Amino acid sequence: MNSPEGSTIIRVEHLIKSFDENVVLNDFNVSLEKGKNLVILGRSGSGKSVLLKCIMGLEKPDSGKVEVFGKNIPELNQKNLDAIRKKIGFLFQGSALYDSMTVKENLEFPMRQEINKNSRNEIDERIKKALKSVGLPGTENMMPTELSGGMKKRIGLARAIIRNPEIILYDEPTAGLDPVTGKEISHLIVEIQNQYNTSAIIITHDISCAKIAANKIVVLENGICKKEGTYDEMLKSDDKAVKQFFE
Amino acid sequence: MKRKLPKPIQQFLLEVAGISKYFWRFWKEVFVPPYEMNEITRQAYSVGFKSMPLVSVTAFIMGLVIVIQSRPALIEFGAGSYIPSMSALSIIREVGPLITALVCAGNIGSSISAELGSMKVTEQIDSMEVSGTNPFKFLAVSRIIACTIMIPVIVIYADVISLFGSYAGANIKGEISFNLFFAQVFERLSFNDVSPAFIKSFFFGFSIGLIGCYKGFTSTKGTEGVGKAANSSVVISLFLVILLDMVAVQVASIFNII
Ligand SMILES: Nc1ncnc2c1ncn2[C@@H]1O[C@H](COP(=O)(O)OP(=O)(O)OP(=O)(O)O)[C@@H](O)[C@H]1O
Ligand SMILES: [Mg+2]
Repeated sequence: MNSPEGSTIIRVEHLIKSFDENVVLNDFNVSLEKGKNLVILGRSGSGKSVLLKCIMGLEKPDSGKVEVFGKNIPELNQKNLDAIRKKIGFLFQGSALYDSMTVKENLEFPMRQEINKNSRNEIDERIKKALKSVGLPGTENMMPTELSGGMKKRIGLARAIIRNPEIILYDEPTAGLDPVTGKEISHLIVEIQNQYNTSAIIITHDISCAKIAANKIVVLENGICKKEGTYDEMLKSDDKAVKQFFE
Repeated sequence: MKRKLPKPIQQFLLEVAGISKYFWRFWKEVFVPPYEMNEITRQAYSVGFKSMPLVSVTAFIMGLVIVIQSRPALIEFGAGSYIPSMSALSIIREVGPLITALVCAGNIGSSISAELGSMKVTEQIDSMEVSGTNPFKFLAVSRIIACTIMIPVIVIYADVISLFGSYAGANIKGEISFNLFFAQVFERLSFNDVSPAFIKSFFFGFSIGLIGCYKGFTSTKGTEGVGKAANSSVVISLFLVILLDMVAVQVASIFNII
């Protein structure tokens, strides 16, 4: 199922999600085209992570459509959902590395089902390649507790790309990193986009990351999509909600 | 206006409902492939390894204490020669399984729920789900199976250690040869003494694993939530073990094997 260039592969329509009284997403709309990087800007607690979890099927929306590759995620059964998830890489906000496993086992984990089919060598090769592309070769046998925050992020990134996904969802890839490392990661994201022809949703409040990686930017505020456009369009905007990010 | 149930009763009922849900979920998923054999083995090893030191010490001391405590009474009734068989009976029927289960509920139950709880809080469980592995199966089912298999094994081990303990106890004051002591132990023991105790320890193991996983998976955000999960997992599984023990005695007596 290879979607043609430029077609919409993620379409979120009229998404409403609340926790008890707290309405987090209120009629939210967004779409992602094939081969593009979409950056979502939003204040802390505005529901960015919740949006990604709805796309991944980890949270069930109250109402609205979340279509990935033309399939409505909340309606899928487990088997079809797993098939879709296979094509999506997810970088969690806190990296979410399995801390009882080594880096290598962490990277192997998403390929567990394929291990019997593929040869051991090929898996090892893929792990090596992924570690190299995030700039941490030779860390296979380290435990997550031995890694710094930035290294964890990169290993999380390596794990997100290990299955050669068509879509990658990054939840704050540069948060908590120094500006230099943050820039490196942003460039890495663009590199991955070019190298593997992936599409991505990047959640961030880091403007320099948005500048480097974004093809399109969306500002999320009060549960709705406040403003949509390219980086330059955003710069010129005089909407208060948009301006506060770019000052 | 409808009257609401008092809060503690509400919470109790919610807890019972939650545990039953996980109980059924376990049976629904345990027979469906893929079977996580590697993980089960790893967990079984870790359950055995973790509980070994504490169980050894406790079991030995229990055996010793039983003999020392009951010795004066038995001698007073002129039944001093019953010491080996009496201690063996109480150890194998009751003390061994119960002490092992209680120690493991504290030791293994809490570590399972703390581990799963912190995995939940740091989104590792979500991450598994996203990468196409069923986290309930990989984490919970394997641990529950490991506990169900290993607790009976540990019980047998504890019984043996405990018998050595009572041999030591019998030797503190009186003098009884090793051979004579164990000859008397096995002379009195019958299948009906061993089997109910063995069977009930499977149930002990199952409930320790189940409660540990339930509490870990439902732990709330934050490190405080993880601590609470570990704590209440111990409380609930201790309670369940004792409840099950009582049920086991009743059932055994119905079948006339007591
Ligand atoms: N599982 C949950 N249960 C209850 N409320 C939740 C849950 N997850 C998120 N929320 C609420 O949803 C809102 C949005 O949370 P979310 O994690 O999406 O924020 P965010 O935009 O990612 O913020 P940040 O930039 O700090 O990561 C918050 O008010 C939070 O309290
Ligand atoms: Mg977030």
